[in-house]
Amino acid sequence: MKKWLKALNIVVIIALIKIVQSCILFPNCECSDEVFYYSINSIEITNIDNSQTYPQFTEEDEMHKAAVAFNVLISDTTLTENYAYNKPLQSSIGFSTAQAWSCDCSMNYIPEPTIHSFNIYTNFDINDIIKAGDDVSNLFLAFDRNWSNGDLYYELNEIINLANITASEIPGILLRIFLKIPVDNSKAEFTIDITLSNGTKISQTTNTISIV
Amino acid sequence: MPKTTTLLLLTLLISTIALSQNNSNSQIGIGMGLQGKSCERIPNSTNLDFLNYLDTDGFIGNYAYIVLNGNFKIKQQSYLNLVVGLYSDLLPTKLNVSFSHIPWNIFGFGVSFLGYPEYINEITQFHWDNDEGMFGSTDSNYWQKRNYNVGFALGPEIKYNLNGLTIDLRVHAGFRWVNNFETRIAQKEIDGNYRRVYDYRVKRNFNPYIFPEFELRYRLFSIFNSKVGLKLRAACELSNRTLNYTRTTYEWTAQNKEDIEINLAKHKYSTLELDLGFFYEW
Repeated sequence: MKKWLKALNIVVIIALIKIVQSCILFPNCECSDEVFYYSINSIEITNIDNSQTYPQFTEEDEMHKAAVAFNVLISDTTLTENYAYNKPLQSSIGFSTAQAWSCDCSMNYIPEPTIHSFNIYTNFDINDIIKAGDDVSNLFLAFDRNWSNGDLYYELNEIINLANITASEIPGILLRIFLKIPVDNSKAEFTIDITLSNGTKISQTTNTISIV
Repeated sequence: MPKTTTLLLLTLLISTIALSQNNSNSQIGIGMGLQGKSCERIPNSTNLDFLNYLDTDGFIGNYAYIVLNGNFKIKQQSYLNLVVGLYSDLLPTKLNVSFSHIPWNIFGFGVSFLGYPEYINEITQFHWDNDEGMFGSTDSNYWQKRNYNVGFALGPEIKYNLNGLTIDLRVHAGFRWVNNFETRIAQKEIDGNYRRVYDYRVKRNFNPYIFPEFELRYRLFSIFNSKVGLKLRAACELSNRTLNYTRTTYEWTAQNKEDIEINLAKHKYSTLELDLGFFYEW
């Protein structure tokens, strides 16, 4: 009986130690500053419905004449296709570590080579002055992924310069681009041409948009 | 500001009690008070006028408070009067302090300080009403700003004592202001990409005010060498107020901005305070 009691005491003491050990208030959460480089090989464009207060993704190919907007993801598909948050596994024998929050360390991605030029061309006439084939890059403004400019847009060249040097949590540059002027035509379509610092050119065309 | 002021007043109160303990006629008390506010509404022009959105209720007295007060005789002919009000948050944020010197029988003069909070609500309504084709504000949260009013004044006083009845009457005049504050209203075009942001920077506007204050204290009964009595206080603040500001308007980008100084018409503004309570005199 005494042996059983001793064994029980040992089990209880071990359990108590594990409980105390598990109650970690502030887990060591030192995130690495290591930077990962990625090479751009893709442009993905999706439509944005910007008729309301905030832009929303849409699969509709219809936009208001003064609310033409697109979501542009410039990325390395070899990484984005396998992208996942790299969280450490929290394993523990007995009791799992009790914590109110977890170490959400994000990766730091920077493009290499960087974007040298970012141009947008219209494939249809926008009005009587701006004709199909014209470079309309200066008529577009942009938000970045984190809306870091408050409620105001960035100039396109400004946001590209920022994206080239700012570490991103994803292996890509996510932009939302907005046309400053209304489209007087019934259709709109744009081609985005990117030239990288190593001379590589990548191009992508938006869907043909019906203007309402 | 209210915390610093409260700390200063507590220090003042403790030192006053210490100084006045050998003198008679010092009193402390507790009671209830009501504060009513009125601010003239001026029809909106093209510029936002913050005072049109001031939280007022006429003189119904929507702002109720617990009042702690003290009347201390500092030395012969000199008195300190404290009124500390605690609104529903139970913080001592409403303050009236006056120092009186009565050298000529019942006549004298004094200086006073006033401080109390006020709320400005839902200025976004101005933009919803006036900015056609735009979402008045992209922020759907309720807009409220809490400001603190401060005023310093001086003027003549009367102090009248007769058979347990004390009447204090002061008519002070001075300058008042509220703390400067900033706010941002962001807008977006309906069915369009156009974005506009207004940054308002409200200055510390100094406006003159008159502060008549009446106090009546009546001794009801005595306990040993101390006395208990009833205290009634009425005060009002009369002013012509304005909240001028600098407005920066951004269109599309942060680089495309314009600063304008906005000077607005003055609003007739008044408050009325009524306090009733008991005091203990030693």
